[in-house]
Parts: sequence; C-alpha cells; structure tokens
Amino acid sequence: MSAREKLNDDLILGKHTFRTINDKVNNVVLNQNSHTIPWAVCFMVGFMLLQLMGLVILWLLYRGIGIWGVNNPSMWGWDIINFVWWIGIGHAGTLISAILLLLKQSWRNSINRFAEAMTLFAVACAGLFPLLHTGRPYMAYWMFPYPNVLAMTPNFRSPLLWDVFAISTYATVSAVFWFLGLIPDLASLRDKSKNPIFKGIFGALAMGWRGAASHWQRYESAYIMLAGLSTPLVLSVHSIVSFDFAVANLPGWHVTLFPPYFVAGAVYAGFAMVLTLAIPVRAWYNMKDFITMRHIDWMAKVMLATGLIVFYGYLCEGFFSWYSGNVFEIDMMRFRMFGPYGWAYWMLILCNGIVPQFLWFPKIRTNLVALFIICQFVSLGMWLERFVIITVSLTRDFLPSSWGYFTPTIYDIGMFVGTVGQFTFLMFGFLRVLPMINNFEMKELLYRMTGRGHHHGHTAHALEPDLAGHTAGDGEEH
Amino acid sequence: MRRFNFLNYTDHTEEPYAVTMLARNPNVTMRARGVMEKCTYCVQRISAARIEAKKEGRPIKDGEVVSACQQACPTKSITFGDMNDPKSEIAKVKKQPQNYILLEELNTKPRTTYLTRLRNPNPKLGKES
Amino acid sequence: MAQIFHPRANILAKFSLILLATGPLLLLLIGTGVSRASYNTKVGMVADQPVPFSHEHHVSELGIDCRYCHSNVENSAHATVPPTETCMSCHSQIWTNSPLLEPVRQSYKTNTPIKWAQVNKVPEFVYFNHSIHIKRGLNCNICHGSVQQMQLASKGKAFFMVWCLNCHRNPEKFVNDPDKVFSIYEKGLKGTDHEYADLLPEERDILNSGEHTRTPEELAKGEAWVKKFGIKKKQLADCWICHR
Ligand code: SF4
Repeated sequence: MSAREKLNDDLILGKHTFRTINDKVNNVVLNQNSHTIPWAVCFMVGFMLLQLMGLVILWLLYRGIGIWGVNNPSMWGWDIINFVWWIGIGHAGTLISAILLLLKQSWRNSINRFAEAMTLFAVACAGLFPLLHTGRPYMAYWMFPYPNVLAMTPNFRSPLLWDVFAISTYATVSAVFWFLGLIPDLASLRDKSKNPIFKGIFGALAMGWRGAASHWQRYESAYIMLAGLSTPLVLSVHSIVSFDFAVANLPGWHVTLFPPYFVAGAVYAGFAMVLTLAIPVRAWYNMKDFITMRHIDWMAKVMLATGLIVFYGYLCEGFFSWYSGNVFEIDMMRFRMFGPYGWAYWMLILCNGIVPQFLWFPKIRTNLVALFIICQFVSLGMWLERFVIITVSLTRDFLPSSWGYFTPTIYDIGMFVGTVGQFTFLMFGFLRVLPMINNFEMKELLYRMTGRGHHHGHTAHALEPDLAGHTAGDGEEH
Repeated sequence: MRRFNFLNYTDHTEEPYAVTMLARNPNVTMRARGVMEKCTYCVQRISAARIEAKKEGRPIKDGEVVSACQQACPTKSITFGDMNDPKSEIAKVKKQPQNYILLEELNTKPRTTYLTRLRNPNPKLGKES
Repeated sequence: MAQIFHPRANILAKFSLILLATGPLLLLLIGTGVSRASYNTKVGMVADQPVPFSHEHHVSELGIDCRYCHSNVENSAHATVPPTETCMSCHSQIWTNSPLLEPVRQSYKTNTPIKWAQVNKVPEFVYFNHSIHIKRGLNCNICHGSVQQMQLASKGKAFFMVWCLNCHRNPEKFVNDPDKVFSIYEKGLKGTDHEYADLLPEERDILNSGEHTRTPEELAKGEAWVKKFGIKKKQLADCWICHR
C-alpha cells in the first residue's frame, strides 16, 4: 500500500514557504558548494566525450564522411539514426512546456525548465548529424532560399528540405521559449546574488525585469503565445522527420503510419530521457520536495501510454505488410524479423514492447531504480527502432543485387558517444549556472495550493481542479 | 547506379589541377567530395553533338551520339538515342516484345530499359543458345 | 537594493534587442554585398600582364577584327588566345625596337608561349562554348563589356550563374542576327568619318557598354530569331546545358 500512497503526493512536499522555495532553487546556482562529486564526474565525462567528438569531426571534415560506415547501399547509417533519436528526445521538453501549459497541468511546473533545456541540447546534438551528413557542411547555407548569385532555390518538394525548416524553427522557438521563461528567475538570481560579476551577468540577462504588474501581464501573454506556437511543433517536427522516410518508396518506409507513430515514439523517448535525468538529479540536489513521486509517476504513465502507441505501431507495420500482399513489403517484414538484423528487431520488441509493460504496476513506477532501468531500455529501444527502420530497409531493398550489410566504424561510435557527451556536458553545465526548476512558477503553485488567492483572478480558478493531490483525473488509482 | 563521393577521391589540392583534369576526361567535371555521382548518359557527348547540330541548323541525327559505354561494349548490347523520335534505333528496340522496365510498378519511369534474354523452353526445338 | 546598471544601460539593452532581430539580416546584406562587389568578382580589375596590350588601340584605332587574334571563336568552344606568331605578323615589321614588346620577341625567339593572365574565366564545372553563342548573334561585348574601349583588358561582367540564366531563361532578350556580331565594331571605329554611323540604338549600347534593355519591338525581333534558330526555351536553362 505504501507504493500507492506515494502516488498521491502533493506537487510540493514538505513545509515550504516562498522563501524556502526561492532559497532552495537559487542555492544550486549561487552556492558553488552545492555541487558534489556526481556533478563533477558527469560534467568531466561529458566534457571528455565532447572533446572526442571534436576530434572525430575534425577528421571527418578532413577526410569526408566516408570514414563512417555509410556506403552503398546503406547511404544512411548511424548518423541519421542518431539524428532521429536525438530529435525525438527533444520532444518531451516541448510537450511538457507547451501542451501541458495549454492544458493547464500544474505538474509541469517543476520539470519544465530542465525538460526544455534538454530539448535545446538534444536538438543541438541532433542538428550536427544531418549537417555533417551532407558531405559539405560548409555549403549548408545552400539549404536556405536566400537571394543568391546562382538564381537557385532549394528543392521544396524534398522532405529533406522540410526538415531543415522544421528543425531550425523548432530550435529557434524552443530557445526563445526557454529564455523567456527564464527571465523572472534570472531577475531573482540577480537580486539574491552577492557576487557583483554574477549580479551583472544575471542582471543583463534579466533584461531589466522588475516584477512590475505590467511586466507580468506582458510576460504571461507572450508566454502563452509562444506555447501556442510550440504546440504544433511537437507534432510537426517529428512528422516531417518521418516524411524523410515515408515519402521514399522503399519497402518498410513507404507507410502513412509513420508520422503519428514517430511522434508517439518521440514523446516516449523524451520522457524516458527526462526521467533518466530527473531521477538522479533530484536525489543529488535534494529536490525531492519539488519533483515528487507523483511527478515521476505521471511521467511514467505518459511513457506507458506513448509506449503502447509505439507498440501498436509495430503491430500495425506487421499487419500492413501482410495485408498489402506486396511481395517486397512482406519480405521486408521477414527480413526485419529473421534477416541478418533479426537480433535488433527482437531487442526492439523487448525494449519497447515488453519492458514498458512493467509500468502498469504502481510498485514499479515508484521504484526509482527499476524505473531508471526501464528508461534505459526505452532509450535503447527507440534507438534500435530507427536502426531497424533505416538499416534493414536500405540493405534489403527491391533488388538482391543491391543488398548489403551495414557495419559501423569507430567514427560512427565516436560521433554517437560524443553527442551523448555533449548532451551531458551541456546539461550539467546548465544545472550549475541556471535555475533547474522554475522558481517563480513553483511559488505561484504554492500560492494557489495553500488556498490563498482562491477567490481572486480567473487564472487561479482555471488551474484549480488539478492542483495538489485531490484531482479527479487519477481516479483509476484508488 | 548512383554513388556519393564519400571521400575525396579526386585530390583537388593536387597540382597542377588542370593536368589532373586533363588526365581524366577533360569534358567532365571531376566531382569533389560530398557530391553525388550518377550516370549522366554521357551528357558531354550529347552536348557536343547538340552544339554541332545547332550550328549547322539541323536536328541531331540518330546515332550521332554514342555513349561511352555503348562505344566500349564489344557485344553491342547497348543502344542509345532519342526515344521521342519514333524512327530512331532506340525507339525500334524499345518496341520489341523482350523490352522490359525494371521495377516498372514503382512508376519511377526510368529511361534505361532492358531486353530479356531469349530462351527456348522447348528443348526439342534445338539447343539453347 | 543598489542599482546594478545605470539607466543608460536601457539603451544598450534595447539596442541589443534590435540588433538581435536585424543582425542576421544585416549579415545577409553584407554577405550579398561583398559577394557581388568587384573585390570578389574582379570586374573592372586589370590583371598583371607580361605585355601591356591595348585592345582599344588595336581594335578601335587600327580596326583589327576580333577574329584576327581570337581566331577560333566562331568554330570552337574556346575563343583562344593568339600565339606569339600572330603578334609577330605585324610586330616583326613595326615597333621592332619597342622595349614594351621585348617579351613578345623573346617568346618568339625561344619558342615559348607568352604567359598571359586569364581575365575572363568560368569555373571548371562550367562548359562554355563560344561558337554557339556567336552563332546565336551574341556580341562579344554582351559578356565581356566594351573590350574595344579597354586600354588594358579587364573583366567586363561578373560571371554569376544568375546572369547566365538571365539569357538562358529568356533568350529573346539577347539573340540577334549572327552576321552582325563583328560588323558593329567596324561601324564604331574611332577617328574615322563613319564613327557611330548608322548604328541602331541597341548596337550603340552594346558597343558602349554591352548593356541594353530591349524595347518591345526589339523583343519581337528577338522572338523571331528564337523561332528561327529553333531554340528550345524549356531546355535552355537545364543544368546539363552548361554543367557536365
Ligand atoms: S558511359 Fe554509359 S553509364 Fe557512363 S555516363 Fe555514359 S551513358 Fe552513363
């Protein structure tokens, strides 16, 4: 029963006042002693791997992308797999910050900041791959329709070009959204900081925020507008990424199922990554009062739901290929399951289909170790999903004469590990210099939770029902 | 067949570059790393013939353009020409019943088509050649 | 709490916001400006030549036809730079002691070509053919500027692809009577009584700068030429017309 009780945690635990929340969140940034050995280890390892990636990229620029395992017939290899994987991971951040905001879900408040940061860093990792994959990254500006002396515009009929726009829009909107949300917190850091240099830096970044009513009014409308802008992006970006495959007529790629199933997969992988980060970080920085078991439980539930959609996608793929009656489609499924990459397919089914089923049990959802391990399975599974889609289709297309086998090289692995390093490096760098939890939104939440302002302002009213632990939404738990 | 220049197969830093270019086919660009390579249907030969024909104010004659692979093929198994001209050699060959399009159902409309091998399924009629 | 910033910092903040919005645009403008400037295109820049050859003197004052030196322009892809022998066909008789012509004599004596610096150059992935352009009535000046007025040769036009396509997409704006390509220079000879005599306005423009925007009547004539030549306008701007 204790497992179930934890699920009914309040969104803020413990006896907190505005001051304690403020101190706790700001302390991580202002008090340099709050960072312990785990921080140093993660940061260092991330930094080292980032350097490794730098070396790989240098060598790649010098030699060409032939140093990767990509070659006829597998023109897309780990680079595109990693790209899709990273882009997918970013989606959870946008979902949390935009869609949950519009749906007035209060449980987004403590996790949105670092989930958004995660989005940005994941997009930064993702963007590298297609850029380098073009073979001439120094010509990347050709992908934009700028007024040029060649009288050329990019080919707008190509989904790869849609990708360029989808991802650059995504990166920009996410960055602006994230920064906007940071402004009140930066002002708070500016006011609390003792060091004049930090004061100056935070002050400059806070852009003169004084917390005046007019500031708040403008802030709220800007924020809600950006949330509205980001909402379609959650769906569009990965849909467009899936078009890269779905528009081609290769067996295994040419399916209308791809967009929804990619988006679900993206949210799924993203929540796995948020949990992977949240579980250790909340322990290291003692943020258990803000990121409660209830948050973790809900994230696990979202993972379960999207995981089921993804699994349904796999079943559909199998059904479609059989129902199509098309010899190539049927054989493609056969090759996926029993071909040379069969191991990847069954691993994928294990990771994405079977392991997440454990999330049905509240006991497991509250067992942080188990949850953490499941998240790793999910991340691996989502990577394998792209591996299966890309590699099997490319190495087993229509003509047996163009069959092949894809083998990654150390540079493939170096790039992948390098981006993981880059991500870790950026993430832990972020934890140290910026508030990882949305300070003012937490205070606002506390204000509403303690019942003060119950009868003032319609915003508070609208947010009311799902505050605290007494929502109607989780009835299935009782 | 298409191929991507994954590595810098032609060293553009090699000096003198013009000499390297002459050593290959000076009428075709040496494509650098990061550029796609594909059968161009010997566009340099087509262009040469096209310009000559235009200067003389006449259409390109059938058989005036011979692709390099066609020229090199000892068994003359490659025919090249203007598909739009019904009197051309290629149009006649394409009308033969053995003519087929590879993966026609994908509707990619390739111009390169093939002739099937002639077989004799009835051994009584003679030895298969 | 003490103020961190002077009120004047507001201006800085606002300015940085404006810069953030306009910066990329500004960069784009600078980029486009630099790439189109003669610093990059070398238009009008005189190259360092071994002999200070004057096109103006030889063409406008002496009336030598382009094809006397660039003899293959009508028949081959290249206009060709003349061999030393062509120079010596006159300069073995006149200016035989001129110190400026010493490299020419040297070249003739030692049988080594003069190393002229190439002024007009297309990239190696562009296959330009002079002969077909001459056959379509394009005057030299349209691409090279008014060479017959150049003391020292310099590039007349920036060879941007957009500029090539200007004609390749709308050939009727430029194609003309092929028989008139070289004759207009004769009509524009300097210091003679038929200087600029009976030149059409278009021809005069071409002679002076190579630039001319056709009037509707001229365009109609251009259309007629396009028809006569049988130019397939749809094909003319295809990649493979110039690139191989
Ligand atoms: S030789 Fe044959 S295969 Fe090669 S470019 Fe020419 S037509 Fe194509």
